[in-house]
Amino acid sequence: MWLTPVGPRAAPSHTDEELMLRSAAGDRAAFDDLVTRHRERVTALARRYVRAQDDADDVAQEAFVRLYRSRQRYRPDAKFSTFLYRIVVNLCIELSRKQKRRPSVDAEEADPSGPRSGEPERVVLQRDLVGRVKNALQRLPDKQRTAVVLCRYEGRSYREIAEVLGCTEKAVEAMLYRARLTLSAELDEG
Amino acid sequence: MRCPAAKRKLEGYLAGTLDGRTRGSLDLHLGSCARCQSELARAYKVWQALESDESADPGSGFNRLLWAKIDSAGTRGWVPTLPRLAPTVVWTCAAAVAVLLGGVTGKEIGRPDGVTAPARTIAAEWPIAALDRVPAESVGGVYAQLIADTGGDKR
Repeated sequence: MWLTPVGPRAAPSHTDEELMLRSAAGDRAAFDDLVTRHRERVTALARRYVRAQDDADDVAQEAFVRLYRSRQRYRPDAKFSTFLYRIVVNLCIELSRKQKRRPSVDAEEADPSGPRSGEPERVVLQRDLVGRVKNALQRLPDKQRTAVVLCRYEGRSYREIAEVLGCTEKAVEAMLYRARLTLSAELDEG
Repeated sequence: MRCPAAKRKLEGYLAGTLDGRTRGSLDLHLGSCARCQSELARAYKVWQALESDESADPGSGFNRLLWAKIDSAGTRGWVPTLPRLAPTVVWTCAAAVAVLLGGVTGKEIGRPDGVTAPARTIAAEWPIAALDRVPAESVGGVYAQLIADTGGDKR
């Protein structure tokens, strides 16, 4: 039987770093607040990385479980979001590699079917194009895909992406450039 | 800023995450370079194709499920660690048993009656009576006397 944390909730003014330190000291309500603050973003990040929704939701849950287990090791010298993103990204990459080793089960490929009733052709073409580019995103190498997701969907700077990936900003620039070349090739095929 | 550097910063430019100085430098370059302007247009098409989906908050059920996982992992306690410890425990027990067995059997093999192996060999090869013929002042004689006096090399 699980227990929901009860007790004084952290004031909205508490930073993520403060909540994490309080969690490390045993404050479950503080950790619950952290989860509430970040669950949408973490889930969205996982869903953009791992297309299958069930897998993405599992990744999001596991990310917070690992965050909880590593709360004693957290040091506030690093930005909390970077710390959390690193956990999420590593889980996504782990899952992606496991899935590559298994016989492929296509998850949510773009639907190339014809126009839906009453839809203008240009809308159909656009939808098809979007689908192909997003599928191409899934086929990118792990680090390139991570860089694109963090840049495009999370609005992270090159420096923040570099911290998450453990590389230099120059390397992030190169990854995004190469990813763009691959993804824009899908536009040419359209 | 030159073209190679400019091309690699277009995603940051579109995301609005470049610092002011870099953005200004890139703006200046884009204003005068048709090739990079074309590259920016392509990057923007990719950017649009990766349109952001509406993401819904998973809700408080997410938290409940999470705490259930955290708390059930905590109550399992030693259980997950037992499989990891098993080989160590097995080897430790085996080593202890081997030491015990070695001590007992070694003792039994070495001295079933308290007489050491060398003494038994000597006794077998040199019956006490034969030792009477050994000169008393010799080492053998001294030994023979010792055996006669102490009743053997028992400990």
